[in-house]
Amino acid sequence: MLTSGPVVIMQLPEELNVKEVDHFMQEVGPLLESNRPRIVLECSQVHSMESAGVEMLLRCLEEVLKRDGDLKLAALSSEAEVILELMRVARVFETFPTSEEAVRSFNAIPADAIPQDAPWYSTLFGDLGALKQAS
Amino acid sequence: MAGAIVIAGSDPQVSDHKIRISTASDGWDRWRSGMASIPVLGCSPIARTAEAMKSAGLTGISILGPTSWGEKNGIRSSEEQAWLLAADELKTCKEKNVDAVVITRTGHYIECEWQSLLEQHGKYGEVASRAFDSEGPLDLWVVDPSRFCVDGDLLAMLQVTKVAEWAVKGYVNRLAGARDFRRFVTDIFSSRCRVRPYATEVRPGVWVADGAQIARNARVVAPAYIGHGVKILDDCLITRGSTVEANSYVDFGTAIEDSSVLPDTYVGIGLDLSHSIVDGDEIVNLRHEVRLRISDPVVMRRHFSKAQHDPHSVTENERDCVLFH
Repeated sequence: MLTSGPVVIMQLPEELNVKEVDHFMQEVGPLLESNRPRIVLECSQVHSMESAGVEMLLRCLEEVLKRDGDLKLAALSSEAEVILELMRVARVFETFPTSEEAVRSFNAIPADAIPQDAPWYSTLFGDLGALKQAS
Repeated sequence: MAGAIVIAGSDPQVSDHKIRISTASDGWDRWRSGMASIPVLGCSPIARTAEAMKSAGLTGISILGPTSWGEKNGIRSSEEQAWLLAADELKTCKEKNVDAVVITRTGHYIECEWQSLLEQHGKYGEVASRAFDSEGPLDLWVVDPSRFCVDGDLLAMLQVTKVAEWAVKGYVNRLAGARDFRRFVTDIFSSRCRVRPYATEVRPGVWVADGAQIARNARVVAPAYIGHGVKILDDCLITRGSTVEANSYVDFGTAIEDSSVLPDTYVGIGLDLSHSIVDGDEIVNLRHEVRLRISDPVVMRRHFSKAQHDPHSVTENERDCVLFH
């Protein structure tokens, strides 16, 4: 059975240096180990980011992808954008102007809203699934 | 006989040729006063102005403002002090019977026919003439020292004195911000002004100064400028009107596009620097209109060349530089 937890929005700290990265990883660590983690990192407060911060973002992305989840960045500050572009990782992440848009992009359907006996593709193809069943 | 007084930008944050930006929130105007003393393709606008004045036959050119010597000795000259010195200089010109003195405050770069300016000043017969362009007045005056009263604040007096207006027909860049600074660079590359790079044109549009070392696997695509003592390591790409000024170091695999790397700057491995101006650990990005300090020295930092410091310390990277030609 494929189910997903809720989309979790987390605010990144103003400075993503080694110390803050350690602190943030402690917070986000359990979430990364969950089943299909879906995370939005809100970056509006980020004013400086060391290479440790960029590595942390990449590590988080790697972990969530391993568990069939996804990580998206939202509301990037200009500083964060400049640093991600500078470090050539801007294209690695899916980015959104707001956290709401990032959450919507997950196409989040509450797990209890999906009938447990429905075929797996019904949520993906909608009417197409019904058409197949009818035929 | 004509003389000249050039007031150099003297923002306390600016040394002889460096931008000093303290925080990301500082305004663009902080750049203004110091920008004329930042090297652009090997030479600062202020030095180029003085050179042009000298070529035009102006004598006794005084450049007043902060100096590296003054900074090292804890002397911080303010712009007011420079104007006081300028007033003294003007008095000296009067004593020496100098016919006309050009006074300019560099915060802008102006190309004009200096002799024509002096002739026009003589023809108008006013105590002072002031240069104008299509956007308004410029900080460039010609005064008759024998008739100009120099007591008190020279700048204030220049601003209130009745002047003859002289329209500058040549190139003007007000250097009012980072964008103007980059525009100046591209204008030089596209020959929109008379300024030429202080380097040899090794290929059409590629200028390389003496002592620059470019690795074989690095690509420098026109238009681009590589300054004196610069090192560009393997797999780097320098292009789209980028300049790497003297003694800077661009590490492996970094791409620099539509950007200026100011002197003595280290740019780290595998970066993608675009639409920016970098000075040590400070970066101004023109696309996002943001300035920030990179606190990670692995990414960017002030770079001191070996020759200036420890000639025996050779890093792993530099040992690999045998490929330089």
